[in-house]
Amino acid sequence: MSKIRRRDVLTGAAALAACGGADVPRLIPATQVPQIAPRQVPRYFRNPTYQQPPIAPIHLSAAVQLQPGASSGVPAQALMNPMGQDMELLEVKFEISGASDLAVNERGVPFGGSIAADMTLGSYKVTMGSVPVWNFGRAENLGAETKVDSSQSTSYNAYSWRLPRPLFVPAGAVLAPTFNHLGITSGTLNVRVGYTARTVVKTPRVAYVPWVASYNSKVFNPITTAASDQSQPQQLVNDTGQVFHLQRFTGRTMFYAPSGRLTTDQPYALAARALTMRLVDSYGRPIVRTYTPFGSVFQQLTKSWELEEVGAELDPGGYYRVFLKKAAMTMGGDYETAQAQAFVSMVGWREEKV
Amino acid sequence: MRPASKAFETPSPVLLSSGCSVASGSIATPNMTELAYPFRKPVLIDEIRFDLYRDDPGGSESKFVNLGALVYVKLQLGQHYLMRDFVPIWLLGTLMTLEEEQGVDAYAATPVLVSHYRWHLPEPLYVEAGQTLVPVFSSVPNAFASTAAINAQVSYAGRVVPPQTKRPSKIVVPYAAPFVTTFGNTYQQSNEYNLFNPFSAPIKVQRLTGRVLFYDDFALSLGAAPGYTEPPATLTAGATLLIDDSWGGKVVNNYTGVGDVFDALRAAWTVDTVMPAKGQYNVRVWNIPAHTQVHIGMIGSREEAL
Repeated sequence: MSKIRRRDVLTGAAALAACGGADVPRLIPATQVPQIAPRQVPRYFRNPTYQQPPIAPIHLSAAVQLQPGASSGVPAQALMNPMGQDMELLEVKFEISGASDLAVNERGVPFGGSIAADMTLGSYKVTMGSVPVWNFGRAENLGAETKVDSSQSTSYNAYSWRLPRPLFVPAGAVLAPTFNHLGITSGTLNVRVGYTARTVVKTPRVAYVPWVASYNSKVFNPITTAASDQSQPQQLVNDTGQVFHLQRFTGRTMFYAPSGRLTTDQPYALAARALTMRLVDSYGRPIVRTYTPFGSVFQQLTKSWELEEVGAELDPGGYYRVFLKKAAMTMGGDYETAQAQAFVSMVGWREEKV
Repeated sequence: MRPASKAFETPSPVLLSSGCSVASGSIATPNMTELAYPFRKPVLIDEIRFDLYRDDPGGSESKFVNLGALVYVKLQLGQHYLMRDFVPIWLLGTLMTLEEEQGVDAYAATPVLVSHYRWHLPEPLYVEAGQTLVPVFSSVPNAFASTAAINAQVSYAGRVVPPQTKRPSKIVVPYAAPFVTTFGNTYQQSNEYNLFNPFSAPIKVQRLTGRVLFYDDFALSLGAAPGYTEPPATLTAGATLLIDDSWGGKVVNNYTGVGDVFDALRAAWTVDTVMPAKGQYNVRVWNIPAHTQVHIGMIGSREEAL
């Protein structure tokens, strides 16, 4: 740093002036120092996004272990935004695996029908009771949903639910799931739920809260006998008090094999031929008029019927009804005592004031 | 809850479905009554689904079979043609899940082969009140050892048009055209009856689709053990093709494998272009392996007066 003092500079300047050099610079009072105008912000930086605090992605997850028939929540703190900020949930992910070696007929089983979730956000219900986790989203990649480990002793399952609209979760609030082990498999299962979210800085006036309701048919026992079943009005119902906007229907089937045989969700002939269904709404409008193969209603490539572009609505208290008919199936091997079950859900959203 | 009279004015999804049995080498049509909306209201069809299944005699035939290669369809809506010729079902949409396209159900006493396909239309198709989109199925002669027919189920997923909606003066009609090589040919080129625009208006070409059909252990004599499989990479690399348009423009300029032009993940190439009236694509295919067919489809849409 220079040790030349201001006084020395002035002294030198005065000496220079005395010999006919430069003028002595005048001191400018601090109050008269001209203010420099703030630099103009280029137009392309005027996007409000750049002037807000940063919007950050965030991932939260929590796990629980469940025995058959058990029900439990997960640590809520783990699903809360640790930054104490508002956030928007974009996607919910479920991972399920066997906690220990499973029986032979339960290895490689898709556990999406075995574990059901009951979700609430504060006083808002997100699900109508317990909904099997494979009935929330559309199947994005069927081949990757169920994987068997190298020792062939258990299986790992992954299901994804991309929310119909981002769900606003205020700071300190949590979308709390309670998981139920429906007892379809006899093994203890590990369940992990993950939330993909982002922090937000503005509180919206309206929150788009998802709504999922499901109907699990009776177990067709045995599969070799013709039978029928139907959903009740209180199952696929809009119980939100708001207008429900339908995004999709999902439909899955489960095939319970006798001991020593593999239980699976892939009895192709069941969904494509033996199991047929009708679907009506609470006004009696035929959504699926004639008994149609289950696999044609919920196209088997994604196990869903996407309806976002239809714009269908259901009034408060409105409902859909499913009528199932299962023809007798002639089974081979030891499968005469096998059983089958169908899972149908409606997924959408409603508006709630924040 | 709003009164029922008002509720009927809200959009409502609808699914119309019907099936029929298609014997090898013959034509069949499903029940038209089931494919018509019963309340004489116009319907918009967003998606057409095809579900094929067939009882399999088991044994050596219980292999992965893509039935959409064997069953062709032709769709017509009144005077509006969605296809001029029969098109293999697997060419209409993109490949989504191969396991669902060639499923084998080994749990039944008689194994069942099941194939699912969906064609999400380029634009929703407006079907006037009382009208029906008519499908006709055709099954190419196949070499299955048994004579069991293939069951074809077609479903129209769409929505009922709300009553206050004005009747449009023009509608967008999808169009699909195929080019299928002949078994035994090592070289073949398409002509003016294949990937062409027969209309006097341009077609918006959404995508080209491509598949390779391989008859495993193919033999003309019945009792042989044929299987029908999606080809392994060696087969897609075996046949190469060139494509140009009817003005000499190069679409695929160098000899390229079918699996490269139509990637193995989607079996499709989204081109999103316009084909002028009476235009066409010329495809030349070389080095087609034995027992193999190359299937190429052109999927698009055009506007027509209602």
